[in-house]
Amino acid sequence: MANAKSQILAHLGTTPPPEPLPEPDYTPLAFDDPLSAFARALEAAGGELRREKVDEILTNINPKGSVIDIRKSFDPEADPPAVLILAARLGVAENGAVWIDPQERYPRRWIPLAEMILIALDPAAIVATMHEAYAAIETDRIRYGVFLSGPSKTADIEQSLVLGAHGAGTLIVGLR
Amino acid sequence: MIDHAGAAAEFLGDRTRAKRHDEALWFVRQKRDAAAGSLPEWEALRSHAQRIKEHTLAHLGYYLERFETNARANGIEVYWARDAAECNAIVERLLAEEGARSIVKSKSMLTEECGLNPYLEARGYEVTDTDLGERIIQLAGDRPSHIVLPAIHLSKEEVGTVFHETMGTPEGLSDPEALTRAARRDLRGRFLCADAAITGVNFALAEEGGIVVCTNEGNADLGCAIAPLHIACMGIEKVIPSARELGVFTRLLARSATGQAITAYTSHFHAPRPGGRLAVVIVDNGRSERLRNESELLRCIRCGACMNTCPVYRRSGGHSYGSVTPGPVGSALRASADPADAGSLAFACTLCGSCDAVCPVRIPLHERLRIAREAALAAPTYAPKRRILKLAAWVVRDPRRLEWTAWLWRLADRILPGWILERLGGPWSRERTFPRPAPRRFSEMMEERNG
Ligand code: SF4
Repeated sequence: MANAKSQILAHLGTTPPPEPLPEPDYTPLAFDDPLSAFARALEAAGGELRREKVDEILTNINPKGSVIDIRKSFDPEADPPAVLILAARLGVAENGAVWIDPQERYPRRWIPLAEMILIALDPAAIVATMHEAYAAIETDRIRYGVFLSGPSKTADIEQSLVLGAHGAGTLIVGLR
Repeated sequence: MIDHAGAAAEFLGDRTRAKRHDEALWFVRQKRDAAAGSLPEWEALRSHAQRIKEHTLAHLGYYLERFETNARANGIEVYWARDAAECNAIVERLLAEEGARSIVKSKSMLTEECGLNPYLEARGYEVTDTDLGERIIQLAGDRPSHIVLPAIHLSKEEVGTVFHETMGTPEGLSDPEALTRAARRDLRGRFLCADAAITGVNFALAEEGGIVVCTNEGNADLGCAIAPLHIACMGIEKVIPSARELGVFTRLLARSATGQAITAYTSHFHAPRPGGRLAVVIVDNGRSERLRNESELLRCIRCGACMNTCPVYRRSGGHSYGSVTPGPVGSALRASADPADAGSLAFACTLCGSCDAVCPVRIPLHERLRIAREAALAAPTYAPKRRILKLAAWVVRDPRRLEWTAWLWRLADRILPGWILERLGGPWSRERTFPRPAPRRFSEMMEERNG
């Protein structure tokens, strides 16, 4: 298929752009109270922010199934847990998303297979928008990473929102 | 040949369905408006997205090559396909190499365009669509009618019947929550034993050498995290310079599509998982040709906003367009690629420009459709229309000719029975009343006024 590549690229040309990339000419949204904005956006996305430590949340929920907390020691060979506790690198106030980057320390599949996800987030690590989010992440070190905004959801049957389409049906963000 | 009006008439035959369809999409449009309104910089953001896409498309070869180099450095395999046939053959070869038989697939408009599912199924592979909307369509043996909401044309009762017949859910079950649970259970089993996962690509990052897939269900993440082989198929136009630009598009995509601030999952695949393979197939399939004179259309990020807002789409249903991508952008793509076959799509448009007003990358859709109309009019099918338009032009070019025609029209109105007049407009007057001539001429009235 080397042929296909050279043919396509011959059509398109491969000289580096002489002009710089287009820059934004606007000031992105900012929030006086990023934590409250984050909480509102997360709720709209079907998730929940609780202003307490993740360990307290876990005690209060008292889940039946297995729990893995990736902030502590765990067995990466273990079956996917019912409750997965993750540490978020940052949160985004405009959309309630958190950045999760496993860096292959634990299997990627734990994230979509867990029934419930608890996320520990440092309120100081909440940025306003996706512009700041991508500026803050070391994007060249990603292997697999995901912005999670609330639980898995679908509205494919007559526009009715159902949580837990495939992945976690519950996503709660607590404080670190 | 695509007959949009004919297919739309069929859709409109079921008034209840048509009304529900129209209202459901208008509701999505309103959610989009609310989401857009929540950002003061929305309009500037759209312009920025447009400029980024224009820049990337102007230097597409450069960015694709950078993407390939950086992706390879991350351990991703990269393949190139000139057309649908090459794309399908590459995918099959990769599957054969792994000895894969069962495949879980997340949504990809490109593979839909390439006809990958039927291609693989004909060769004995078991392909499971895992996006709920697409799964419904697959089980129903139907076709998607919208690029974001594939099953928008079906009622929950119809979905219930499909699930009853194919998955054995209780007869008459139509609760969306219960039906979703049933599909989840069924699909979970398929995910766990899949040999390969196929996904589309929303954005490919040239600088980082990674691909980004946006879903609400998490089905892409689930498939790729379990199966040993992940194949991602992308059109050449999906590449953007870097994650920095992604900040712009992730702000626009879901807000435009469904009114969400962002999709539930914005998943970055920048390297295969340990012990697994990740292969990206870069597909041209006519795109580099389009780049020459309608590059605007390649800016599309497949949000579906132009469909939700389109008064014709909402009232005619996605199937009436007879092609993979319906609605304004679908018509523009199809009608220009094949004016002889798809000319009617150029007329499935009121030229209201509502699509232009919502498109997150500011594609001048109604202008493209107007141009497509010119091309379509040249086709033999439109010979009568062409003649009528020519005649009309000839009439209005001369004041006296116009006067006589108006006089004739007034005379006809007096002496001919109403039913003849009502049919004069042909199909146009089926749902509209032909305008009655004014009792007095405008120039007469003016003369009188000016004394
Ligand atoms: S043409 Fe614009 S509005 Fe329509 S799907 Fe593409 S990006 Fe969205």
